[in-house]
Amino acid sequence: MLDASRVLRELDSLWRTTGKQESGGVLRACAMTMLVAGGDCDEAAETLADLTREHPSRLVLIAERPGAGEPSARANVQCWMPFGRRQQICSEQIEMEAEQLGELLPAVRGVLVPDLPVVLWCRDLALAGRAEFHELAALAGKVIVDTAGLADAAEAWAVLAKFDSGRAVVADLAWTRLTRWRETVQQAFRSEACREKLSAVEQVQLKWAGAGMPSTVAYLAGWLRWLAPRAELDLACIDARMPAKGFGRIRELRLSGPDLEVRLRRPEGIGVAIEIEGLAARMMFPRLDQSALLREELSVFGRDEHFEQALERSRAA
Amino acid sequence: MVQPGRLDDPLRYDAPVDPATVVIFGATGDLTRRKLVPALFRLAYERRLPAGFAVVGVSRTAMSDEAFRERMRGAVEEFLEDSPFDAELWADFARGLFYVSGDVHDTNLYSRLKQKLEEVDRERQTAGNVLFYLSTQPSHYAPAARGLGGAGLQAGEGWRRLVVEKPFGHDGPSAAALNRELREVFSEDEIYRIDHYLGKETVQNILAFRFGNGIFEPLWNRRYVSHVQITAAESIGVEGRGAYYQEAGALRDMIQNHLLQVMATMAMEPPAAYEADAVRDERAKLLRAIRVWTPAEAAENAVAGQYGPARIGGADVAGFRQEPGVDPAARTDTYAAVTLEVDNWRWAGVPFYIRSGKRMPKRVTDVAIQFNRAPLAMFEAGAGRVQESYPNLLVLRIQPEEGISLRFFSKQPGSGMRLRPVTMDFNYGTSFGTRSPSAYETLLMDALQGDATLYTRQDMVEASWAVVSPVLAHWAEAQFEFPNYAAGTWGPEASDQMLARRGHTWRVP
Repeated sequence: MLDASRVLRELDSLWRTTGKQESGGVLRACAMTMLVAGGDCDEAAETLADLTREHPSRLVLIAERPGAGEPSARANVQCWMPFGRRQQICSEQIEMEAEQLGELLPAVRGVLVPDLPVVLWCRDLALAGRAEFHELAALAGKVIVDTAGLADAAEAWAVLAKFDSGRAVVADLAWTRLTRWRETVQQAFRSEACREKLSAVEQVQLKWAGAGMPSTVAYLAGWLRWLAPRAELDLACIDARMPAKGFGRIRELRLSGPDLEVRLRRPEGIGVAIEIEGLAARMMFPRLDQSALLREELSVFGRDEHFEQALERSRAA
Repeated sequence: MVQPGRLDDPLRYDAPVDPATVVIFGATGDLTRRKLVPALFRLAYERRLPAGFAVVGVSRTAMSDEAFRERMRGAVEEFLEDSPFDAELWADFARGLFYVSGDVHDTNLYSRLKQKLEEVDRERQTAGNVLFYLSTQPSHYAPAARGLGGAGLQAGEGWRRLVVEKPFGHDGPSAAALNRELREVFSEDEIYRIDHYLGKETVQNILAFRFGNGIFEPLWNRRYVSHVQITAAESIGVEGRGAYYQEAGALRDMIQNHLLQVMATMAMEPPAAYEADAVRDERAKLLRAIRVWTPAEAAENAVAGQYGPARIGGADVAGFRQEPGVDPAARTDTYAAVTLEVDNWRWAGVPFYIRSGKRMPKRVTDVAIQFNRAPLAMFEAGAGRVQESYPNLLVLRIQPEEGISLRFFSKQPGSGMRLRPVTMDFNYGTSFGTRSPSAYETLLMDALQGDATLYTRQDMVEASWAVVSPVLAHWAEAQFEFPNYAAGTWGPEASDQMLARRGHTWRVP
């Protein structure tokens, strides 16, 4: 039987050994428990390694593997030396494995860091249909999923619906991908040419690349419906080819009305061209990877009204 | 119809900045090259600047817009921190850079500037908003303000703001005179007196620590605090600034402005709201509550020092008087320490010790709050002495390792009750590995947003000068035997004696 106390003792022993090996001692950092379920554990650990400095956590990687035998766990300590310092900063990682997720639940409950937030990153959306996964999700205050890989937004809504009854706040990295678009729209309407014309938006056009209507596009459409409820919304896939990974699928957003033209255009690359009533500018949209998306999402605590409003309108459409 | 409130999402991104032009006087100077333009470019990189944005550089050197852009490109490439230089973004940013040459005393400069601003406003859609930034030598502040007023540039279609760098005068009367000159042209709420210390994340974190938590504030008073030590030490000397520094000195250069602001932030009463005037009112009240020493008290409660030559790490280090550009008989204080008392209910009787110096053993700035020791030392014989030597200490570390440490006693493992002091550390870099904005990014952004919370107000400047004036007056008459501390040490012995008279000792940061 997998015993949480044994895992914690193992961790404790690791801390002692690491501390003795380092002349300057080590600094233990922990701001949350991060549970990761589904997908390739090594890949997840690599993604989260980039985040450890900003969001130090006890990382618990939960793997379900046929033929795994008895449930098992191993603990290790991840350390890094900040530039110019003499003391290493370390955080903890626990890898758990079993044939069935349900077998690991008691141990997971036992290794949660007391009094700190618990976040669950669900990397396999198929888990959402399983009862034992919901038991795992019930331990978390926030569940992070990514529906951007699904072919169609309708599939995404079906997956998200399975989380509706839980107590955790659900976050979708497909929505997180839109922050810079939304921020740029906000800034455009702050410009001299537009600030008085907010009420003049009558038409919104949204164009994307890659066949189908991904959840990212649907979310943006939902947010735009919330933003400009009376405007006519025109959605179009302008290129069936899928863009390179990390560059996003949205190509153009245009908000117009009498005496108003705001156009945000994104050719492939890291920049976005902005045209506001004849004024052209450029902004950076650096390539987003999963680390960057998680970094933002882990900084958001509690409910996200904008996401909820966008989701509601996207589903309704 | 767009619902304007729905554009903002404070969970994810900051409030937008108005379109604006930043006019930098002293555009060929060091501050512009090293700090201001790199900070603005970094803000553009972070998508914090609006599309309608421009910078107009003003300086004596004749130069075209294009030459100014090239010069600033070099500056950004050299001094941009923590982000790659993106040539395409630079090309876009540079389109918003312009230049006007002229002498700040020449009225023609301001008519040319006015014309340029009109052109820039049309081309870049900056809504008539202008932030004037005086990054010149202080003697140019008043002429520049007069010039702007003479050309009618202090008012226009949009907002107008004036940012002034320290020093705000070299004593109380000169600060008041400068203020009168500025106020003839700009109103108080249009003047932003920059103190870059207040822009540091960790100084702002003092407010978060004090007023975002419920557990510390009850201890934050004379009942529990024995005394407070504020240290700002530099390991370097004057580094080519000898000519300037010998006129200023540590008391004027650091304590009168930066460290008194830090003290005010640490000791002020809770503001009713996190709003510019509410926070600044409390800072100002605290500064006004600092007791102004009589001449005799000033002699007792202040120590001046000047470093002499020494050998550090196998190399000979020059004394201050041997530094290039420094008078061999200079009486400048490269070290200053003062004891201050605050006459209010919270702090009456609690000494605040402030020290700042050059050529100290290391570079460090922190605020240490030393608590009263436990009323009874009940654990083992001699433990009372341990407790006396290591009272509870809360250290707010401002630089270089930003964070907070709390020192308390713990039982040593083993039989018996032997106590040992241990620290509990919060390290900014550990908990938030993310990059902190530079002080200039924060302060420029605040000025563009019209948020003066982190800027000093004239009444604060006046109160600060009132605090240090008796010390300056005493030092002007005093005979010093300089140098009185060797480079690489923690300052003159007299400074230790100043604390010893009150039963305290300087901690080693």
